[in-house]
Amino acid sequence: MRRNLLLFATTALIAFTLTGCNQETPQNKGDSGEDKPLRLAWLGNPSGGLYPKNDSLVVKKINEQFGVAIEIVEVDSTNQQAMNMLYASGEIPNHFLVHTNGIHTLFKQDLTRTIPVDMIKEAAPNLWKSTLENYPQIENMSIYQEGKLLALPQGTRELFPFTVVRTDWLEKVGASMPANLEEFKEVARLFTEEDPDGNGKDDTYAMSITGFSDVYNIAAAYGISLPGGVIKDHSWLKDKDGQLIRAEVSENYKEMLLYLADLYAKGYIHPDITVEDNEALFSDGVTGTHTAGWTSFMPDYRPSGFYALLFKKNPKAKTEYLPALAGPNGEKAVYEKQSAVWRYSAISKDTTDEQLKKILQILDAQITDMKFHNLVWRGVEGTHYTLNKDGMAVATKEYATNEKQAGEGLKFFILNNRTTEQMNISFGSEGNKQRTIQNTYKSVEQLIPSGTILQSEAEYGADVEKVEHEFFFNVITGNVDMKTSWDKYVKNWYAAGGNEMTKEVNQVYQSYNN
Amino acid sequence: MQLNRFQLRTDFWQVLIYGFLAVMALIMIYPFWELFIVSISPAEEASKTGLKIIPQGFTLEAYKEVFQSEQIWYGFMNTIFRTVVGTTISVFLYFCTAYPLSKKNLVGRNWITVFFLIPMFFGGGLIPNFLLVRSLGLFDTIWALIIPSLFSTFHILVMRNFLMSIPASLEESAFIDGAGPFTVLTKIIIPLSKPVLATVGLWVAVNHWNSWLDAMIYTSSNENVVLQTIVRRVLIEEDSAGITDSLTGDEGIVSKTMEAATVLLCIGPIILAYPFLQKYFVKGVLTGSLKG
Repeated sequence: MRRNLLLFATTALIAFTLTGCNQETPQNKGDSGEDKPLRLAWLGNPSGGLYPKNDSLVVKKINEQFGVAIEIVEVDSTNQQAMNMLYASGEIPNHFLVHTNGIHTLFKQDLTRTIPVDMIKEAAPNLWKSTLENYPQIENMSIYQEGKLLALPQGTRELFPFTVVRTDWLEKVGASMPANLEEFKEVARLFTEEDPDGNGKDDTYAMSITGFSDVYNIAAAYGISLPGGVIKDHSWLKDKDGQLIRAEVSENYKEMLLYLADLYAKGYIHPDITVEDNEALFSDGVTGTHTAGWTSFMPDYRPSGFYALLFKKNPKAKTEYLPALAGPNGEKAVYEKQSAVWRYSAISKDTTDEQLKKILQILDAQITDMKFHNLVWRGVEGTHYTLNKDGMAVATKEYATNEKQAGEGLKFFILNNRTTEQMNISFGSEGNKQRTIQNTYKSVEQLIPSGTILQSEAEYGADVEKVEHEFFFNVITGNVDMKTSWDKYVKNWYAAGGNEMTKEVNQVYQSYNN
Repeated sequence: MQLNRFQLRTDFWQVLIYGFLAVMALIMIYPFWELFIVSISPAEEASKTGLKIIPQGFTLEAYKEVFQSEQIWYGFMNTIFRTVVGTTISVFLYFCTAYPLSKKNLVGRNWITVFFLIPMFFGGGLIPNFLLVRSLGLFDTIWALIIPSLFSTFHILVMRNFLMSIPASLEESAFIDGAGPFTVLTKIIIPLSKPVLATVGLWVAVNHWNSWLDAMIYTSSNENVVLQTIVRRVLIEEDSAGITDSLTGDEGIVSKTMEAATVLLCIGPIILAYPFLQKYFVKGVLTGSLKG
């Protein structure tokens, strides 16, 4: 009897468990059988590594506005290892972000569905317009295949890095803002030799160099673009035979290195070129110029950044942006427009057309509907943020932390494509000022557009960059002589994988033009 | 009093050795000292270049900010839990395995040892392990950080070697005096094994405290964060991935002072544990290594 009872209890427990497993969640089925909200598993942008809940404010608002049931997927898209685990699990979210480094891996695994361009045009016309503005060469990008996108690139045309100059130093040494390389060299001399900080000590330099990004604007004067910071892509130039060659093995690059080596030899560049914290050197008043990404020079936007600290440490400091310097023969500086892909929106293979349209609509609304854009980016005005006198959104004290913001679902669904008005609310009037300055620059389109997947770059990119960086520092610091070492460097560059890269890039370029 | 030549030579070497050790100690201590100074300095001072020997200004603002973060508390709770529970269970399991293996009369002792050795050299790989953890229902639970790493052949072998070095005559004499196996274990073997228990315990605890990869792979929710994940976010990931935003702007920035305060709080406790366990540590490692 007791044994039978036990058997019955066990059977009942198993039956109950199985029934429980098969029950559909309320999310999948409406209580009264009417149209249920469309389920969308969404892997978005974590706020400081933190994720919202399914009932966070922004998630609820999106559910209501679009008739969907969002399920938050907690995986960090910037972490390739975590993404690989997600792919291995087989539970791919309907919408997921893919970092630019991971897009190649993703396509190899055949885990996504395509996004028909016609569908984007129909369901999300503003998103398509914005995508074209950011990526005018989209049809040449690797993600474009016969009227379909393998993934949707996200980004905003970045501004070029700026160099700021201490204008109080210029006043002190009696110089004006340099306009060409020759004048820049003279200012560099004055900043180094004429005690611009007036402390009576020989302790100032014109600039510091720790990598390509620090010489971005000098490189532009030589007609080339070097990667660093927000500028991600290597620049390719046409040689006299019409073949593409990488900027780092061009004659222009050689000339630029000679100029920098001269500045270094004369002592205008801080001697410690690899170890020192160059941002601190500038904010400490050791160097008089500094090059960095455009948002770095917005003290309201980056209140703990080095630029804000410069004025806290020295309230009398004054700065201004260095204009585009004219080249060695007076030619205008050339800036390569780089439409950096911040990341891609990818869609899982099992996503239906209906689900995809909803996803596109949610992204599209961020461009057209300012209220919705603000909600997704920063919440509700007055509660989560306020606008400062400059029109820039500032988080309220209560919601200033990532934890609080993630709890509300802020930033999780953000689309990086932004209109000018939306950029203004993010960056205030300084962004406008910067854009106006750079609108006067001479800029050219990339010969190889951002987002082009190059197999040889993945294979040899690191080796080639090693050769480039070694030579860059060795020449500038005078460890090797340009006259005797340039040919050897070029030979090493090609041997390290430059041959394969140049060959592939030229093939890709020809395919665009056929 | 005149010193003889031998004494002079000894003193010279003593000064040289102590001087060298003092320099080495300074090299080891300085990074922590700098971290401490940065963490208590105002932002303007913390960002200055050069060596930081004496604090210029004093503020606990960074610590206040860090402690206001819920994440740091979750991090402490989870890290302490995994370290204490994980280490306790692991050491218990190691001992339960190592003690019988140290007995020469255990039937099939070599075969059992080989059985344990195989997974020491051949692992399943990251993705199979992840799938296993998922299928066991451990994903995104604190147990996913404890159970997969409970058993370590290397630690068992260290412990077995130590236990083999305890003379069998000690147990035999206790048996003659009427002690049972349990009494022998608790009154003789365990007290004698304190060095190896402390050493292995320290290894396991440090490993638990410092682990971030498993937390990154096996957990995802905000509540299951561990301290090292927070440190990684603050130091390695982009500015916006810090534990708190700056007060303005769409992109968060973690100041240098907060970075330093977070790192110090996260690594401090385990560093403080070292001096207390050091005396066991050396003895345990040396004794364990004598017999194979």
